[in-house]
Amino acid sequence: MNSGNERDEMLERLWQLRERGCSTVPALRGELADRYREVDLAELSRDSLVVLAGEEISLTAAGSAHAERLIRAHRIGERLIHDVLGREFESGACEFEHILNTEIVEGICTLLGHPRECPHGFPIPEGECCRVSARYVRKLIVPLTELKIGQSARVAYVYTKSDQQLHRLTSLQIRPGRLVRLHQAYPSYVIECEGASIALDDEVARSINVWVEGASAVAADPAPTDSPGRPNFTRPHWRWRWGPRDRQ
Amino acid sequence: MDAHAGPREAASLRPKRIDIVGLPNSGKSQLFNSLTGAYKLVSNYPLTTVEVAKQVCFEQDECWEVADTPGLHGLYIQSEEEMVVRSLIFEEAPDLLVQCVDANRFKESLLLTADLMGLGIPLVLVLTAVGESAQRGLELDAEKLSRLLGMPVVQSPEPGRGIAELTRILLGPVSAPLPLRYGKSLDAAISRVAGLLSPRCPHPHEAAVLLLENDPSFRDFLSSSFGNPVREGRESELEGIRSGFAGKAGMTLSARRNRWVDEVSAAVSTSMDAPRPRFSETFAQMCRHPVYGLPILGFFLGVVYFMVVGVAGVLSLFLTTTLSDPVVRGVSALLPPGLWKDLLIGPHGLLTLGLFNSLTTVLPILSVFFLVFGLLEDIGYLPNLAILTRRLGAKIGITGNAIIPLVLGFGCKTMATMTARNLQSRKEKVIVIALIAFAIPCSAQMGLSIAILGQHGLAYFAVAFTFLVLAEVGVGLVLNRVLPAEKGSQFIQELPPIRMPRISAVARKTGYRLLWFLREAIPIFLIASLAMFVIDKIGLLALLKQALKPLMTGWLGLPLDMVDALLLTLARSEAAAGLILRMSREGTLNGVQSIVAVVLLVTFAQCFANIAAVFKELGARTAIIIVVGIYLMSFVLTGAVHEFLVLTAGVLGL
Repeated sequence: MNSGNERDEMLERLWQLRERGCSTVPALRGELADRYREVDLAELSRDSLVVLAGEEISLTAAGSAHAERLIRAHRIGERLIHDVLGREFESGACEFEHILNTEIVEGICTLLGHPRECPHGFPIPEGECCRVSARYVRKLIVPLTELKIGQSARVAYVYTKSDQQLHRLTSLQIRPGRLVRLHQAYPSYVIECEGASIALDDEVARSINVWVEGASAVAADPAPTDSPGRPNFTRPHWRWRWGPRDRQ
Repeated sequence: MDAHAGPREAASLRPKRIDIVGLPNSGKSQLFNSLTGAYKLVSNYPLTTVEVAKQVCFEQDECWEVADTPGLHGLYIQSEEEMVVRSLIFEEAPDLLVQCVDANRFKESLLLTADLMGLGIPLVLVLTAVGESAQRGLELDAEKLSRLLGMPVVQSPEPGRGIAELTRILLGPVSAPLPLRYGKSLDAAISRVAGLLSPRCPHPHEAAVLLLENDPSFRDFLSSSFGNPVREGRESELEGIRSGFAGKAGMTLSARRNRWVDEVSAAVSTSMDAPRPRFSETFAQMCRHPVYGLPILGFFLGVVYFMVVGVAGVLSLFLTTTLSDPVVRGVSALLPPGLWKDLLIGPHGLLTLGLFNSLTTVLPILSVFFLVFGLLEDIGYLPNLAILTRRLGAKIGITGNAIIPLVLGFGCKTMATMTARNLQSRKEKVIVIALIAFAIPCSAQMGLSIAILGQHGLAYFAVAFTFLVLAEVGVGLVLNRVLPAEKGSQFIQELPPIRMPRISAVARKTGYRLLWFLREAIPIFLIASLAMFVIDKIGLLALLKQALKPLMTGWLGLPLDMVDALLLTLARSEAAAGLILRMSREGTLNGVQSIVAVVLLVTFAQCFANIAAVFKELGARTAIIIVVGIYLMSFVLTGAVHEFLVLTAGVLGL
């Protein structure tokens, strides 16, 4: 591993320590363990990416910007592995930030619908793509409330501030990667997920974001986006079938 | 097993403790009934069981104490009833756990299994609703599941089946499953935390997992039940381990658990061809639909109305003319007028107001109503109704999950009040409990009210229930305004699948409900009529009537004899309802008066069990305010109904 990577690793750890509010040399040493080398810190200081004041370390504007890019790539990488590949996200993503350039990160971020948190729940710094995200791209991932009655979609992520709500939804199997089907939108949202019918109110339904299959088809149909949660009297999706049930 | 041999032998005198656990509405009570031979109400919806029920039974030479528990999603708990189950497992040290695994919700159930495996208690899985899930296109390989998880798995394709096999397994030795592996770093963290725990703390492995997950209530629970769970001076180490996962160990643990669930599920389940929409699903959707749902509600109400008025009313009349009337005539002929005759068949006679009131007037109506209501419960209609009425609920301060207890109040107010304990917002709890206690008729009141009003016609029934609905909405609006604002709960509710009712189960349930009614009510009916007889003879009743005259005849426009009914409601509302029904039949009450009487009956008659539940859930102060408020409101409302009807009876065509 070259020293550039080591320095990047150190900057990332400093960012994380700053999130936790304990940017000190001993904390950094604890985080990096045997990868900690005095020379790297000295180099960062020399390139004015960090400022050392006794035991305290702080990132300079340039250092902060650099670390932000790295953290963003790392956490976007985790989201990709977790949401799309459904795999273990800790082991693979730590190398991501050293491979991905900004364009690729923007691309993945857009693909994922500009997620706001990594799978651990830490904030993902906003990228340029998030700030100017085009409407048609956003539509790849939409809130559950924008599905049509009878439409199925995979859950991309659940964005909620309440831990308890997240826990409840997870235990009901409503979590990234699960296929859900919208049965009804009014008076309550009713979805089917893993064999259970679950009723949700508008706020909860809006917090569940899903991948739209065949996104272009939806992009061509702009109707429902402007009025989330409006009464939807659409005929439910059903078929009458008489006679004996035949199982193949 | 060996690890358990010590305590097990020491405790050989105590019965083998078996706890039945599982998701809500997964068939635990059904299994409890089949296993113990006891009977406990079973319904096709969540929250049927809100308190733990225990039953001792004997199987060959073993003595078992079986406990039926409220629904549980996982040991990281989400509601108060779940807390009851977790406390039970941690405090009462069951010897065996039996988990009902609803095959329809296999993954959701496995998530609970993952938690239970960490406890180190022998575990047996019972797969329920296997037939139903096969129809939906999911086939489960029970044998493979058993091999994979290292625990016995019993299939119960239909309710009550597979019990013999389960009994055989429970009699033999069952070993505790190995806890789930969370991966190297987490497993190491779990065993480090487990090492920090004091020896008093039970189930150290799972306790460590829950402490890592940072379940806020768990730490408090352990401290209050077993003293500080962490060894002296090791507190900072726990914090250190937690912060090693950036405070997000819970998320990682949950992610691993979910992955395990997916792997197991993929290994043991085979999906067949994409299932076509079945009639039951279509029907469930229609029940909840804002347009189609209303005629369905109307249809069910119509069926109930017809059954009560057309079948039960006629049955009750028939019993009165063939059973009680001849007896009354016989006694009348045999006994000379006087005290004894009055005691038996006078207006407050033991036979007339006590025995026949319960047997020939009330019982036929309740039996038909309970039968129809039991069918609706077995179908799973009520929670779907809750979806339909949720928006209305939001207007009166009932957001989210609070609508469920309100709808369940139409079954039994006491049970509904107890289910309200799961609401997090105190404001919602107060509103819901007050509304349940005030003007929601429980199933017995509903059946008898329909019978009383049905004699005069459907319009009378419609008018009376419109008033009750308006009163509920009014009280809800006022309470919503008066009580300080709180953040409402979020609505996330699992719906039971619509099922074809099983006639035998419904008949059995109706039978038990009637049996309980008779066992509880007949003594009360007799005592109440005796009490009425005594206060009549000593002249107290006349005094009371004199005192209540302005209220009864003036403000309420009811005959003075209704004072009897009012006093009877203090004992049991069915007794009063029987009397009102008889007065209405005999023509002492006309149609408009019957409406007023029914509104008075539903709002004034408070069931003792429900008042006790209100005290328990809300505390004495609030409960007293609610109960006194209801008595006052009841007279205000009933009087207002009377005044309104006097003014508009002509217009309404009553």
